[in-house]
Amino acid sequence: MKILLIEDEESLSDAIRSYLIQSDFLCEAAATVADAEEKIDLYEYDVVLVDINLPDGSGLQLIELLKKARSRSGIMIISARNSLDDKIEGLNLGADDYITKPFHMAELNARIRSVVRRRQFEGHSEIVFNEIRIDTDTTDVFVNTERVELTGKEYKLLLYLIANQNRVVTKEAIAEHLWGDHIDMVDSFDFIYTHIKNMRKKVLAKCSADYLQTIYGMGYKLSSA
Amino acid sequence: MKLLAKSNRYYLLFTPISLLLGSILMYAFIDFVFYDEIEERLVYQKQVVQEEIAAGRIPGSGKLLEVREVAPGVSIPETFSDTSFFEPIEGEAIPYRQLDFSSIINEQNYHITIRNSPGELEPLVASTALAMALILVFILLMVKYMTGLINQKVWSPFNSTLNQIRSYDVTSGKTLSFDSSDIDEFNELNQAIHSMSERITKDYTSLKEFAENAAHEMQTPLAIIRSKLELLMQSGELKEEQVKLLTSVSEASGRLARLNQSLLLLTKIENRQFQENEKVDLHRLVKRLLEDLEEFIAFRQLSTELNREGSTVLRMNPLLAEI
Repeated sequence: MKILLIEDEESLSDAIRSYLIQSDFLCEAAATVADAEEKIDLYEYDVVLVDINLPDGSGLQLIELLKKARSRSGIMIISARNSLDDKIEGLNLGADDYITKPFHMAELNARIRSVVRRRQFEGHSEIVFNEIRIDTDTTDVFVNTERVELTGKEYKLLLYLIANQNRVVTKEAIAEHLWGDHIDMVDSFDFIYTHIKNMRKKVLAKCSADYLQTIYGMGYKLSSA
Repeated sequence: MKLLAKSNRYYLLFTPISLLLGSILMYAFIDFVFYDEIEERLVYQKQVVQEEIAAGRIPGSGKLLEVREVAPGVSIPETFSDTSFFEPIEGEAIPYRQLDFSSIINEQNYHITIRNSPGELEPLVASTALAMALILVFILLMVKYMTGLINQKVWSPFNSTLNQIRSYDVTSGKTLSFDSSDIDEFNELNQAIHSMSERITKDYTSLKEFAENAAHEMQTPLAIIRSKLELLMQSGELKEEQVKLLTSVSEASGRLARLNQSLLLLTKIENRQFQENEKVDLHRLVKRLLEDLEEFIAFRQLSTELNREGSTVLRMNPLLAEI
């Protein structure tokens, strides 16, 4: 899958790019509106990540450009401004999602995958991870052929871990993904342990191997093999 | 208390006092003029009496004139004095002014006393008092009427200024501007308020810009720290010591990020940037939040109970309602 990252902060751009490449995406970066326009003209991308504040213009005009060209790319806004106006304007222009800096890489990864799923399969999509099969349309989860009953949070957690498979996901990132802004009230993320435990019991116990690895002190890692 | 009421109060306090003093002075003045007039008349009569005697007609003595023959050596200088006689008709004593003098006419020395009454003083006092009372009533009525008029006319620029200040909204970005009035004090006030509002608006805008810039400037480095940390965590084969260090750095950066978010939110609230209002069902909101937070609540071994059923709808900003 090809991704275009439009971000003027070189250091951040590099970090995001290496993370996405590690997650098996093809990722190209542009730092300016002009640069991005040229790349959009020449190539077709699955997802375009746009920063709103760019040195030579606004990311919003790139979204307009993409929409005019009837591009099939998914569009995601990355912005330092957590301003509602920008968000509404961006989403109205046709962006698929909006993520505010600073974000967890795992979160970005999961969101990109969700955008791709919605774009390419119009919501009808199946995620397969070894014996686990998830129908994202009906939110049904199957291990082999057996249906597993999961709570909303557990479902989100499983999807998140699969999206970030083979990499360490911190407890903090999981907590922020599941509870969003409410997380600033908490001083310890240990409570997600309960959810991990339930998930293990319901899903992973039925699999042939324990794919979920606890990385001491950091978080969790779901390995595909 | 209104300024006019206050100044009127002093005005009303001092008006009777000054009127009282005025009447006393006026009485004294009228009294003086009367006496002066009578004395002039007495002096004129003195001449007439002297001429009469010289002509050999010695007038008979009465209340108004007494002519006595005295020894040649007696000399009485011309003196005015007060006296009074009981008037049977009026039933009271009437004041008189008298002039005593001695005069040698046809080698005969006379002691002559001429009297004249200025009339009763009471009617004069009474009419002066009445006039003053009428003036007082008139002044009071005028003050009352003028207060209304002054309030309407003179203070109207002040009132319009006050109304403008009351409805002043910093977030609108507009400065206050006033119509010029023909009163210098109000013009000065308006000018001062106008430049003050200009300054406030400028400060407000720069503060807002600062908050927005701070958001951008701080979020990006934070995003860089975070992303690099996560890359580092993925690198594998980390020693336990390194994992511990990484985790605490990551937690600190997370705290910093959340702190920054809260600060920005506070700035936004203080800048009153949450103007959108819509109906919010508080009951539903609380229920949803409780469901969202049930894991935290359970983890802390707390329990909550929602007592009210039904719905409470308030008009407010939906984003702020959640906080």
